[in-house]
Amino acid sequence: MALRNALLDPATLPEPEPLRLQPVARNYRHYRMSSLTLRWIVAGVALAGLLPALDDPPPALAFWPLFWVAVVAAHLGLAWREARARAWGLREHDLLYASGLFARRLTALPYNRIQHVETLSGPLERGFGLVRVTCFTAGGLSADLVIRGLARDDAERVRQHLLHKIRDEDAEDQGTLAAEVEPS
Amino acid sequence: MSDGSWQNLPLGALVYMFLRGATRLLRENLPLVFGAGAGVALFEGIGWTEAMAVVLGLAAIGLLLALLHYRRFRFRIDGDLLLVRKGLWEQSELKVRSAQIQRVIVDAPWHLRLFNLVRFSVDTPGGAATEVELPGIRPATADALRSALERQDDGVVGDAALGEATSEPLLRVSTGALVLHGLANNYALVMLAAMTPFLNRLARAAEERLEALTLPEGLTVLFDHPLIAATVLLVALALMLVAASIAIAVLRFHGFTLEQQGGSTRQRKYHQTSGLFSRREQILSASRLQVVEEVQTLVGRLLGRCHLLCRQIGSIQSERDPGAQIFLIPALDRAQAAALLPAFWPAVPVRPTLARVHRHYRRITWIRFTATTCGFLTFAAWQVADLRVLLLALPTLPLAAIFAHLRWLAVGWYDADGWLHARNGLIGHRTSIFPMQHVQKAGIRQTWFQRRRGVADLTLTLASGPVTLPYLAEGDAFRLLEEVLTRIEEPLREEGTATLLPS
Repeated sequence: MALRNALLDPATLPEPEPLRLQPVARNYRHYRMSSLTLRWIVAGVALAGLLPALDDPPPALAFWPLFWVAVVAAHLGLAWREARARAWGLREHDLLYASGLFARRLTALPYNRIQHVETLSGPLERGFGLVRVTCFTAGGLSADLVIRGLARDDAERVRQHLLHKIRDEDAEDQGTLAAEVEPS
Repeated sequence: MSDGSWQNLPLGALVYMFLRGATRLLRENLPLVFGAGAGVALFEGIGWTEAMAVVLGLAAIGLLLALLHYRRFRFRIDGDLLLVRKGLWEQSELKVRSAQIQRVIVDAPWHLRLFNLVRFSVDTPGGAATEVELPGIRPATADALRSALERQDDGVVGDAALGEATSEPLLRVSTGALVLHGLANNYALVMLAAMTPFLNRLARAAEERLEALTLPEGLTVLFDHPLIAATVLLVALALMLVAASIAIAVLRFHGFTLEQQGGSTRQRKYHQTSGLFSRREQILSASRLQVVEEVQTLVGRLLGRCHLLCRQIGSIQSERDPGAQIFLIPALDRAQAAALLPAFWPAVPVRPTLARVHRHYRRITWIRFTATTCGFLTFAAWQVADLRVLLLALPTLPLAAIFAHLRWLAVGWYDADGWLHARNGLIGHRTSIFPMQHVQKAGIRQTWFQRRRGVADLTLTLASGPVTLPYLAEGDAFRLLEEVLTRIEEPLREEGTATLLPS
């Protein structure tokens, strides 16, 4: 039988489907603002306490509160934009997480590489109803992927999904292993 | 070795424990004491007799602690578990399942050989360092332990299942090759770096001796001409370092042989033996091997020499530390390295032509280097209040260009049929070779500049550490990312997955 191998029109090929990730919870921006503001206040109070101890302060230091406010405002503005840019997504076989403002990072962690999953939340995060989901893989000395800014319900659903996937993968691995060692 | 009963270490292990404790104490504390000059002040203040009394007192305490530690140390094999009980202040029981062991190391330092003992340790994927160590057991016990663990790991009874070692070793390294390896790898510099805290003290002692020394007529000329003296000293130092490097390489890898045992990937193991005074045996499971790295230093490239590093899960330690517990195959020429790679993975492409990363990488490297140098020089000019310092920036511009070009030339990659080769370096090269399904996590990073230029950094994290390919064309980076994820899930993934390219 002759092989039929007609040319295809590239215009008829399906368009690649762009990836649509889910933004992290809206509250994450507020949490970031609160967390950073608290840190800057603590640092500002410490600096204000230290400055009078200087013997001969340069005259330019008189403007430090103005400079301080400008730096804090710039940092908070960037952090707000960065928090908006964070997004996550679950695909059939991997977990995706995008972060970063100037340097954008997209991380993909296949489910069958996850060893265990942790959920964490500090007091401030709990105040905003947020939870972090942390995934660990083999060989890593620390967490391999931390998804910050998930709403509590979302985090619980993600955790359940990951645990379910890990169980499935383990069962498949056991099956493959059993098939490998089975005498022929 | 019989299962089930707890065993003590032989009495000779007590000496080893004491020596190891004393060495650790010296290594961790002496640099601090002598480095700060406090040690000298102490000895001058209290005198040598009192100092010796302190040392003897410390030795007595150390011996007592070693004795207590020795008395509490127990080990046994229980089914597929190796159990170790130890602990001075806190009792601990370590359990290692044979299936989790990725490497077994049996070595015999000279002080253990005096008592006919060996050190037995195993690596598991959980940590970067050796987790379980039996510090001084009889060689027969070590063999029995190893056989018992291997039998359990293979799930079969009898050594026959392991297969015989290949009739001819995969590799046998000659002393000549080790001399070249020592030349190509400056182990002495690493030793020198470790000795840094003592250097001040040594220099001072040498200075005192030199002042008291009456030099022959010919040598006094050297001190009248500082340039000649400096050249002679530098050449002498370089020769000493080279000689020390060669000596370290020969001592460490003397009689190196590499053998293969077992047939299938799951059962295959690699067995290496080496060492002149301290004999060391290492066994690596093929199923635990994550990455093979081919390393060439600058001298190595000139001499056509390289070495291979076989990395397993969690092995991020430095291979340049002579004491590092890493599966290193030394003293290879390029042809031997190419011939050896298929012994680890038969399907691996050998020496493919590597693609270069985008030329923007060269430009950004040049900009970074120049900016860092200019920033440093500006700071220096401000500190010394002399703007002429900034003139030093002029020669750094072409130097930065050379540096950037060399860096760009060194970085390369190749992917085909699920295999990836990634090369990094500057004047030396390090090529990581691994199957894509060994990747644990993959990520893309794009700065604002990279997004504008359509390039991206791809980082593939393996269980042995990350591998980064900088400034790939955006399409290549996302294609590689997708391919890696596909290879990890190959039997499961189907068509129609959303593309990772940014919308």
